[in-house]
Order: sequence, then C-alpha cells, then structure tokens
Amino acid sequence: MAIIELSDITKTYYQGEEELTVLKGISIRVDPGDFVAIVGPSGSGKSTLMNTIGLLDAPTSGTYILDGVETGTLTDNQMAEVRNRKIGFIFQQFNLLPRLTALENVELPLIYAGYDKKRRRERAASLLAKLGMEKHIQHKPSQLSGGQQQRAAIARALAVSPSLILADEPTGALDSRTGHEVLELIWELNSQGNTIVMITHDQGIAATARRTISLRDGEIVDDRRQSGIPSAAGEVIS
Amino acid sequence: MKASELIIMAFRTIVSNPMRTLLTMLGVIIGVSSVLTLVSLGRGTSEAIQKQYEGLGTNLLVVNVMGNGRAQQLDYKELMDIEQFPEFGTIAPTVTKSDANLKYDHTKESYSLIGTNDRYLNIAKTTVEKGRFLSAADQDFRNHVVVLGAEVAEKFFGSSDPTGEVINIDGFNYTVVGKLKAQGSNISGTSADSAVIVPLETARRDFKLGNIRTTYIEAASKDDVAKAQDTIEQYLTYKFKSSDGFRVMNSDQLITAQVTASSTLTRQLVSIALISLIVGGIGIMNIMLVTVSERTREIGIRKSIGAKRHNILFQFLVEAGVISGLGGLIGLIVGIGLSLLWPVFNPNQTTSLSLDMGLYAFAFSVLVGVIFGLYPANKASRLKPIDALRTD
Repeated sequence: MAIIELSDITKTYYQGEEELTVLKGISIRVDPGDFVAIVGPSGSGKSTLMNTIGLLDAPTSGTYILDGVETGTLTDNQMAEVRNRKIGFIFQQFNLLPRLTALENVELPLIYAGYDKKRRRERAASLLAKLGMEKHIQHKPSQLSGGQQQRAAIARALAVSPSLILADEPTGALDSRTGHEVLELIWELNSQGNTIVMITHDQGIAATARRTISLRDGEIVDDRRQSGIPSAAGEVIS
Repeated sequence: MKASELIIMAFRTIVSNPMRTLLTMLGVIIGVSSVLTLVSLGRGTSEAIQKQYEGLGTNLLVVNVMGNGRAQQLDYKELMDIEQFPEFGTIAPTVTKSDANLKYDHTKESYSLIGTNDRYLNIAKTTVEKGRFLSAADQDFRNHVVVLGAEVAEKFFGSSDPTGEVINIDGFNYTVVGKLKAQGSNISGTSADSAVIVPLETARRDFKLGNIRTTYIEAASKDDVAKAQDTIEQYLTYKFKSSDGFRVMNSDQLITAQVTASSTLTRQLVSIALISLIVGGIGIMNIMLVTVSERTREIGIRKSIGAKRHNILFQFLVEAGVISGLGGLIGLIVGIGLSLLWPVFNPNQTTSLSLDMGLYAFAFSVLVGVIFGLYPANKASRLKPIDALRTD
C-alpha cells in the first residue's frame, strides 16, 4: 500500500474576481521507504503541494489518501491528529519554539499524542542523543547553531514515529557544510526505512533523492528515478 | 497534558515578560485588594458599632424628635416627670451643636457641644476624671458651667487640672467644673472626648438650639425596656397628636439601623471595587489578544505538529487564568496588609479581616480572567495552521 496517493489534485486561490490555479491536476504515488524530492522554481506550486501533502491546507479538488486515510472528509481536529501521528515536519526555518529547551521542543508532538511525562521525556532524550545532541538537550534554540537546531527539529519530526517525513527546504537556512550533514542525516533516516518527501528548489540537492519529481507552473514536468542509489555524500556539493 | 503541566507552562510564559505581566495584573491586584480592604473595614465598623452599644447596656432607649416648631416641642419638666414611672430609670434630654467655638487665652478651637442634664453621665457610661459632672442645680439655675471631654481638656490645658478655669464658648463665659475620662466613642456616634457638655437650658438659651432633639432613656431593668418604649411612644403620640415626627428605638433597633447604614455603604464601595476587577479583566483580554497575535507562529507550529483546537484554547485560557489568579493572590496579600495597616493610620476606624470575602474575590478574579481570556483563546484556537505558519 502506498503512503501517499494524490489523484488529480488541484488548488485554486480566489482573489476577488481573479482566480489563480497553482496546482493543475497533480497525481503522485509514493511507496513506503522511498525518498522523493519535489523540485521546482518559485511559483511552480511546490509549497502548495507540500502544504497539501502535510495536511496544512486542503486541495480544491482531487483525492488524497495518506497511509490509508482518506483525507478529504477529515475535520480540523482529525487532521491535527493525522498530522501528529503520521507526519513529521522538518521546516526550512526549523520552527522550534524559542522559549522551550531542545528537549521540550522534541516532547511537544508527544504531548499532543498523549504520552505521559516520563515516557515522552525518555523518548525525546534518546532521540536527541541518537542525533548527537545529548549535550544540548537543556539548551534553548537561541543557544544552538543552525545545524543543531535542525537536528533538534529532526528529532521532533521523528518523535511519534511518523509514516512520512516531510522536509521543506531542510538545508535552505544552513551553510553548505552543515546542509550536507543534515542531508546525510535524512539519508540515514531513509536507509532506516523512513519514507521521505523533500521539497527543494535546488536541482543538485533534489538529485540526491531516490526519485525526483519536477514541477513547473502547477504541473509535473518530469518524474524520474535515479539509476542506482546515489550517495548523498558525493553529489550534494556539485 | 495534565492541568498542572498547563499551569506550569503558562507560568513560564508569563514570567518571560515580567513587566507586561505585572501591568496586566495591576487591575486585578487593585480590584481584589480594595474589595478585601473595604469589606474588612465595613465589618470592623459593624463590630465597633455593636461593641459600642453593648457597652451602653441593653436598657437604652433613644427618642429622636424630627419636627420643628411648637407642635413638636418637648417640655423638659414634663419629660423629667416621666422618670417617676417605675419602668423608667433615668432620662437625659439633649441638644447638640456641632461647631462651638472655644477660646481660652490665645488658644481657639471648634468642638461639638452637648446640652444635657446630670443624668447623661450615667447613660453615656462615662466617668469624671477631674472635678465633677453637671449637677441638677446647674440645670435648675441655668449655670454657665462646662464639663470638658478628654481631648478638649488636653488641647486647652494640657495635663493640668482645668477646673475653675473660665473658657469662652461662642462669646459666653463658662466655668470649667470637670473633665471626662478618655473613652473612645459614645452613643451619638461622635466621640465625647472631643465634646464639651453644658446644662441643657443654658445651651438652648445661649446658642439658640431650639427643640430637644434627642433624648436618652434608660429603663429600670432589661424587662422594663418594652414597657418603657410603649409608655414613651404613647406619651409622644398624645403630646404631638400624631404618631409621626418622632422615633423611639431600643438598643437592638439602634444597632440594626447603624449596621444597616454601614453595610449599605460598604456594599456600594465594594461594587465600585468589583468594577475595577472587571476593568482588570478587560486589560487581560487586551493583552491576551496582543499575545495571540504575537504568537501566531507558535500557534502554527503547535498545530502543524498535532495540537488540536482545544489544546490551543486551553493553553491560552490557562494563561489568562494564571495571570488573573496571580494578580488575585497578590491582591489578597496587599489587601491583608492594607486591612492590618489601616487602623494604624486611622486610629478612629477598625478593620476586621474577612478572609472568606478575600477568597471569594480571588475566585472571582480567576473567573474574570478566564471569561475575558475566552475570546482571545478562541481566536487563537481557530487559526488555520497554514496561515499561522506564514506569519513571522
């Protein structure tokens, strides 16, 4: 069974009399364990597609089945629950809460998932430790470097063991070396069996994924699978 | 998430901006502390009134004549004849002047003046410290003699004995015959310490005080109070040919009347204080609205990682409740402090701390915070995650 099944998704924005169609019938199927990059220039509709996949915004038409859940009929609260259980977000700007420590930020999705204090504390601490952040669990985001913040954000995305990791320009706010490290980390997650969808405008970064879908003007113009498995290490910097 | 965790989280958020939190709480602090102080003051006054009348004994009757002119005039001799009836103990008719100008040597001061007879000493339950009180003869011969309240004696003569000195009252010379012991307050509500007492008829003539207004009567015993009250009412109705224009009250009725007056005033003051609590609530609403718009991005992040509407709603509601509750708690402490300090700066007034009212005020302040937090919290909970994430 596919993790993502998008069929004929359209999204139209209305501004007074004007309509702007940013997604024009997108159909994508993503299988478990895949690593898909969605690439396109700005205005191609990739952010809108990412919001649709992340259940942050509803499409105008089309159906979207996420991990067996038909999403079209969900209420706001049900959507929040699906986001909580099935999707781990990694944002370009990390989006950590500034007043909370790294540990508490990672705990946040576990709170909403209903974990008790002891369990979520253990889970958050072990995730941060796995990502090499054990020394920084009590630090606030302002005390962390960009790379460390993104690691904390990745730990948060993994907290409830989601079926899908959705990364929106995960390296966009990082220098190339740190970006490379984060990308390697995402590769590692994929090799552990996590399904990953990554949005990027950078063709070079997109090329490191197993599969690259190119968007232009709201339509898929290219969908190719890399021959062989590219190693993240080699091709990012090119 | 447990309620305790929500409260701790709210605490951490509001202490991160202490100045703003303090200013937001100010309305609630002022509201709760003034409710507590005013109620304590009102209760203290009621208790003081009760104690004062208890000190005067339960045999007391007070006759007030409201009307003017001949038709409502009491005759002193006739009034004193009533004393002959077995149910009566003593009768002390009085006239008063609130601002008699006293002069001795180069000292001038204004005090209240009471014109009465020798019985007054017994009814007012006060004692003479130096010299003597008014005598029956002073009344009969309309002597120009005066008994000074403790404070008055202190003002003009310090600690020396004032008897035999001549003091000028509104242009008339009076010989001081005695000085009263300091006693606090007396039956007329004003303190006898700051009054001078002269013979009734002398006072009526010199200061043109007209009809006898207030007459204090002590019944022979506790069992005679009702009968005495009945007799005096019958007499007055016969005399005035009307049951209007006068009022006879026993000590219970006096206490009730005064306590009612005092608690009406307290209630009115407390209502004003409650309004300031509500204004405080509006302040909380205002700041919570600012907070919600400042933290739109936080709300977006929380929603994107799985916060449901009620999670966000409760988060902000608890925050508003914690702000107002903390304000209420500080208000409670300030109010207790004010209630205890008030009598130190206002020696004539007493307060009786009413913590139960304070707790009600505290609970009310939390309620105010939650009610006024409802609108901002609801607004926050309705934000769409996509819109909330887009803002910076």
